[in-house]
Amino acid sequence: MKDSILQRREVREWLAQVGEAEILVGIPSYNNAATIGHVVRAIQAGLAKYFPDCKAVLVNADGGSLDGTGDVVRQAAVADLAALFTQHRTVPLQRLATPYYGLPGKGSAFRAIFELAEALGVKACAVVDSDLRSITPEWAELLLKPVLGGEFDYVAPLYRRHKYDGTITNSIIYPLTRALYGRRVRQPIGGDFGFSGKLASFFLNKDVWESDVARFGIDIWMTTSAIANGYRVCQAYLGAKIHDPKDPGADLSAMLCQVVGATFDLMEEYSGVWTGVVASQPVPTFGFDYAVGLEPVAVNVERMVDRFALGVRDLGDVWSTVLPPTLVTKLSRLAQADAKHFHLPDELWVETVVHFALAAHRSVMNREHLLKSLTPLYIGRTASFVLQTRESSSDEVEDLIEGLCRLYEQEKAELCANWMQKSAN
Amino acid sequence: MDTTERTLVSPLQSTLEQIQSFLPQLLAALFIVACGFFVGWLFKVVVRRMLLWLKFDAGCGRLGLSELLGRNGNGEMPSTMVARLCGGLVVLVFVVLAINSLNINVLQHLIERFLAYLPNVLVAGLVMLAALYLGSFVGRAVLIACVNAGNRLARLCARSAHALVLALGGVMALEQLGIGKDAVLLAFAIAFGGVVLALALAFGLGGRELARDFLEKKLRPAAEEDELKHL
Repeated sequence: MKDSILQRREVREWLAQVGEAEILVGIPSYNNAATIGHVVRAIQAGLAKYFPDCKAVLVNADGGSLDGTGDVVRQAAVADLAALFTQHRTVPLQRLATPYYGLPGKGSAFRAIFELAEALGVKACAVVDSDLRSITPEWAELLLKPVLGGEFDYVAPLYRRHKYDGTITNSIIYPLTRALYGRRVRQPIGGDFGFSGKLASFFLNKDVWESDVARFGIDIWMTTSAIANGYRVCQAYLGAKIHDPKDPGADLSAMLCQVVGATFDLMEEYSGVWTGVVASQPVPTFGFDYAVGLEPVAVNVERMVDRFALGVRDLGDVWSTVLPPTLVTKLSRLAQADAKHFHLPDELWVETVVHFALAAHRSVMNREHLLKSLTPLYIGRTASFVLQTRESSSDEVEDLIEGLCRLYEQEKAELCANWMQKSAN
Repeated sequence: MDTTERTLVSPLQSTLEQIQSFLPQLLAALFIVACGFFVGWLFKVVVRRMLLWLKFDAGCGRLGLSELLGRNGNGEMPSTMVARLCGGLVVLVFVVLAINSLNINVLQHLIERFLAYLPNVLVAGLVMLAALYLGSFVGRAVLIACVNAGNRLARLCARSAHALVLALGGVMALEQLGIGKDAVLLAFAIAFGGVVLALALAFGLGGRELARDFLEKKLRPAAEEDELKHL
């Protein structure tokens, strides 16, 4: 296989030394020395507490960190497990910190993890982000146990997040995925997942590693592939999700392009699946839901509205090839409002996303241009959401998102009709 | 009588004889042209069907060519335009054959020269087409990138990028056609160098504050920056 991590001599030696394992926990990273130590310790403690008799390995797939992330992974250890648990872990935890091959990105790191999972013949895998500050040992249990028990193949995370956190998830990915595939997976791109060894092999053998999936598109690709291919999916309540305030080197436009692009690509691949789905159903959920304190998030709404207005002023011609004229006119009117009273209605937003999906399907322009031109609209939508929910509690925000999901579900009939029309042509 | 015959009748007879001998050739040439139109039409239909079967329009859309051809042409589908061009080329070939069949030296000589020059015209046309496509692509890429970066001069930047690519394409096309080879190249080099120098001076002298702000923003993270996590 091209760009396989198994080509590395030290990896092959490590595999020969380990032989087989039942559990693999993967941590993709890039310059996360400040936070990865805590993540490794939490996983180590979780495996010791909940899976003391299982042979487990921890793999750090790194994107070429220059801050000593690998060293931190190798050295991080819970000082005294006996002080934490009455029962001490009996099987030692094997660990590997190695750079991955392929396109730089989270997806390529996951691919390396899948390869190792297949090579070790593991029963259950979990992947967790390396910038987490709120991870606890319980995450290991919640992500792995439903899979080890043989009841489920894929465990998606469920968190308590700040109302302004995960805005791409809340305004596009969750509602769209739910409307398309009919499963209410609340955090389809949460970043922390559990899955079976069988599913890891399925992911590995797909030819997607030169696309957006190799980057930020990996999360939505995994979740959608699991749902669309009939794997048993559940979600686990993990508590709060608090991570580093900055994604290193993350550019919003590129991130949006990769995630939304992967979602649109999946719509092409699984059009035979989603066009036949009507309404949505909840998925089984594990874990104990409890309220958590979350750190405040600073948002500069004026600047966001300004970016939206700039988009309306300069990208009108580009949007005209994607959106119907009435929609472009409505967006232009919105740009004239002052920042304090700016409001982009949900109906308008859903219609916009649907037209972008159809435009991608019809190849009306270069795909990257199309997806990147969505950025000012997304920023406008986020500004509107922030203004709308300034005084709202997290439950009220959830109700708003639920309303948005219903709008996406209502709009699906039109999406299907237009999609089929193009396919027939 | 003799004079009349010599000055009027003989030339007239001779002309009539020439016309008589030329008429079959002319009719044959017209027949060839008519055949050309029919074969060209047939070829156009076949090419269009083949392109539709190959999903050529969708491919052009993915490359951004549909939009370009739509804007610069008459809004036809790319497959129709290519099929029309192929049909036109077939008609041209038949017209050349027809002219050759007339056996007129001057016309044959002109056609020879035209045919020898035709590849240059075709290459120049292709260069300009590529420049149009690239210019449009680069212009839009610059526009979107600038807008996403919050640059208020996004349109100006995009138009400049577009114009630069078109100018470069134009110079290459003219060079291919052999029109004012050195003069055009020299003029372009001087103009391009002048623009770059002017921009450098403008940014260096006029935009010192802007440059300092830019570097400060790059080196020192802004305190008021958003802390949104989008994923």
